Amino acid sequence: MFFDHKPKPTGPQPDLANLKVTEARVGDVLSVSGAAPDFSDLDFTVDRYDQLEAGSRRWIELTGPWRDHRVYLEVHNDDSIEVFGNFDGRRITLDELGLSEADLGEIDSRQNPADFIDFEGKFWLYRFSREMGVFSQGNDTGRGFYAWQFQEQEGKRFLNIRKYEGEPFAGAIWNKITPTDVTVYRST
Amino acid sequence: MPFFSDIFSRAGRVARGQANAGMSTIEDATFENTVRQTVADMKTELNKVVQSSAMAMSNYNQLDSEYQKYVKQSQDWKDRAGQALDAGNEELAKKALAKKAESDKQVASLQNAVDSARAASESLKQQMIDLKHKIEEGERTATTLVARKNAAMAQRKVSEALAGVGKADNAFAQLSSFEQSVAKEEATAKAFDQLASAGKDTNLEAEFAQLQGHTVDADLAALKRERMQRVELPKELPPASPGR
Repeated sequence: MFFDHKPKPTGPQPDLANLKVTEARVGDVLSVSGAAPDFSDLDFTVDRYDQLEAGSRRWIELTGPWRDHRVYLEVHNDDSIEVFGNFDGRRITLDELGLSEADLGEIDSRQNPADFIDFEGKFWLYRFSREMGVFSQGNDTGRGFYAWQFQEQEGKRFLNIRKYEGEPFAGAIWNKITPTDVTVYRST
Repeated sequence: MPFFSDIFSRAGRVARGQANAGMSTIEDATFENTVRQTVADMKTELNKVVQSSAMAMSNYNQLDSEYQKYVKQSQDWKDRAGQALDAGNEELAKKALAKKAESDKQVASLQNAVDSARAASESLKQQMIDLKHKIEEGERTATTLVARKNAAMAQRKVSEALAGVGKADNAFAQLSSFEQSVAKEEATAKAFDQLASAGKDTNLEAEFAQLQGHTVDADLAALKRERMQRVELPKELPPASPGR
């Protein structure tokens, strides 16, 4: 009988228009305001969600294809939300950096924030170097790598160098992003 | 029949008036919820636009990746053709250029799809931004409306109380009804009092009162006589004795 029909109880609807970057997941489209080389929005679909950890710190890395390369967003959700983006698809070799493996080993053993390197006419100050782990979503076992981080003097760019076992050193430049510049679009 | 027509017309007017008054009461009672629901409905619409935007953007990203892949392939084949020419191998250069042509064909066929997907994506994104702004504005308006409605209702209650046209739950109206009740009690008591004294003979009462007044006059005369007798006693006082 239609008299017995009762509407199904529904919970509060998700606020899809105000999702934070910390809530992003695989399948979401992330739009980073003005991040494309022509300062238009850079929109990409997340196809991988990795969790990274170093000691007690944890953060996430969201990645997806954009044009002819892959772009990355690193999202830290500690006391405040910090977002870093790697959008140029560039992988910098040690030769390009003018460094050797021994140089990086020496920098790592010193752990001295006064150390710096000279790259593309800028000074890059040593911030830290340590072992990190990356866990891809759906995989219980992670993968370890060693990382060095340098920060552009008086700038907002970071040079991260990673070394996975059996792979060459790879440097990438990351830009600090204002978290509210990232809009999350969810289709489901 | 004009009489019945008039009756029905008036009855209809009364019914409409009652229905309107009922709806107004319901609207007053549910005003805030109704306004909030309107905003919630707008948010549901926004969610739909977000989902459509996400799908359109995802579609565009996918098409664009495909498109960029062929653009890169085309460039690669062009570079290879150049290398072959540099090496003096024209045949190889031709093969490379043929491959480039294939890639270019793919680029051309994807071009329209990419352009329209980009346009759809940008349009939906803009719609979402516009709608989001409208909803933010709507939320602000809703908050203001609720506050204004509450203030107006409070004002109306105060005015009704001051004008003495409040409802039964109005404290002033209750005080007034208490006053009326007390006045009624007093009037009833007075009426019973009058009823109780209705059987008495007022003349007889007056005569008795007169008799009572006569007795007092007699007493007064007797007192006067008594005092007159005291006045007739010896007038000289005895001599004074020392040591007293």
